[in-house]
Amino acid sequence: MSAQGETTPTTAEAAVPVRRVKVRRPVTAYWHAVAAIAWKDVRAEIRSRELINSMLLFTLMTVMIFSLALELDSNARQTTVTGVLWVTIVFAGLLGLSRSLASEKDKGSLDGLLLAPIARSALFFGKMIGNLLFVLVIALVLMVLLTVLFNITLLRPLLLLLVVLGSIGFTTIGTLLSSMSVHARSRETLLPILLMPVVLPIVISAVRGSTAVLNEMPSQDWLPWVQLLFMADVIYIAASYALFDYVVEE
Amino acid sequence: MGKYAEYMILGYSAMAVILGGMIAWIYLRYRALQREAALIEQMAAEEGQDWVHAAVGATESEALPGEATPGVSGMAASGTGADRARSAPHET
Amino acid sequence: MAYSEKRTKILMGLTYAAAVLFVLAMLMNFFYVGPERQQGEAQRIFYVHLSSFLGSFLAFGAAVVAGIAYLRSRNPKWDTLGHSAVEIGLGFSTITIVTGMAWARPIWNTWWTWDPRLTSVTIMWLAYAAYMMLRTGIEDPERRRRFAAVYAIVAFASVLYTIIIIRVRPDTIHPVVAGPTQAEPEGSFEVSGRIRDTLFFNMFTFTVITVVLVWHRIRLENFSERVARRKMEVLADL
Repeated sequence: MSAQGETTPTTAEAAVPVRRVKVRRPVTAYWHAVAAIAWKDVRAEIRSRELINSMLLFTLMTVMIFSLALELDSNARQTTVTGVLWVTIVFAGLLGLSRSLASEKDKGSLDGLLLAPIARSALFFGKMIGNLLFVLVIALVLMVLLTVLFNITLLRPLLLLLVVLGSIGFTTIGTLLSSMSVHARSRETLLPILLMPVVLPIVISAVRGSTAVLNEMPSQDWLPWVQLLFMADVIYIAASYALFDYVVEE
Repeated sequence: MGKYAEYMILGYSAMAVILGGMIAWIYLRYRALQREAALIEQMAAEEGQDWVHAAVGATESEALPGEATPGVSGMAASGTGADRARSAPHET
Repeated sequence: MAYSEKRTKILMGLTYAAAVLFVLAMLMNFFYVGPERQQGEAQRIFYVHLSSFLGSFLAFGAAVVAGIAYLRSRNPKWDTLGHSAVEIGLGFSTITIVTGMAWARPIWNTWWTWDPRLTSVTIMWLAYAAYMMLRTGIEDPERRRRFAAVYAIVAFASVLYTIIIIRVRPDTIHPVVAGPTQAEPEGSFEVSGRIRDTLFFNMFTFTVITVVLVWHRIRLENFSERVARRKMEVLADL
């Protein structure tokens, strides 16, 4: 609920950022808008904790289901843990993505955001960074959880890098597609269908790279996957930047 | 018949079924649209008259597809299908 | 009628040409070229397998071009092209997958394996199946055209990416015929003169068939729109 309150702050609060936007150079103003939108989502979430709680519970349950359904012994855990990690990130992330723009649209605050005198792509990156932060929180909790439950140390710098790169690609294309699926008749089912094929290359690279890192393989085994992920992120960010204007023009 | 001929036959028949299905799907939709176009034109022609009777009559000719689209043979008439279908009620 | 006589004539000529070419290609596949040494008769599948992939690739490529052109010009004819091309491309990629399975069963001893090539073609199929779902999910026509164009571009990006994966990680068991390593085809069959003739003839044939089918599909779409418009007119008069 608090998101609605955020879009219409009191004049005293609004006056300061607006003046700052006018004074600074356009580039800074752009990133200022991006940060404002991302910060709005984060603050709204800190107040309500609606989304993050359901995502965390969902994560916990998914890990439980995986452990029980696969009945993993210690060897099997070593080979499947990255798959469990990424499948859970994707499904928990889907929960967040489908709420992100849908709640704005249902409350009517999306129109307000679109009418705001900022670049449409700033709105996109703001939303995307908000989503990315949620996914990263989930991923971090999940990595701790799997480290404890599977007895495999997942909290390694390289693995964190892979998770960040994969999450960037996932949330970028996810934010673009969820801004399309909010207009569909059955948006809850359409978003996974639209997102899965497009995000599969990222998931494949991330899983393969993570497995190689986890099994302490030499760098030529995981480096190509890191490069591919980086490239995919760049392609998807560029594509979303170019295409988001066409999605939200009304 | 050489080695693995049964798999070759399987592959080619699968291809034939899918390709044929694509062509048939386009063709059948042409036919359905032609029928619909003929029906609409019939309704338009009988507009001045008692249109309830026109609608009933149209439904009967709909049940006899051969009468509804006389002399139209699907894809071969693709470009001019609507024209022929439009003129159909006047011919009958 | 919206179409000129000349264009209709070209389409009909192409249609008959496609039918004749198809018969000739099949005759070549079965009689001109002999069975391969190791793979036997199953190798004959390869001609339609690769050619139908070419067909789907052309169709999906046309869909991307149409998507970009639609977003630039907002002319609905580009959307019609994109929609038609994706539908035909889906049919052709289904042919590619099914014929590939029929070939893989005797040669690889399995119907399916998660080889990079097979994975990428499956992702391609899923992406364009999702495109069709997106079209049915959006009601407003203008928005449907816009979103479909955007998704066609995004889906093609993912297809390109899966193709790049194969180049980076060549741990595929799939025979490589076309591509950067054209100089010496890998795989268990060698490309003899007759095999090459047959392959090129099949590829040409399937290209013509793709163009013909997409063209007919576009006409169907236009016809459907005309009928719908006429229906509204007549119903409004009643």
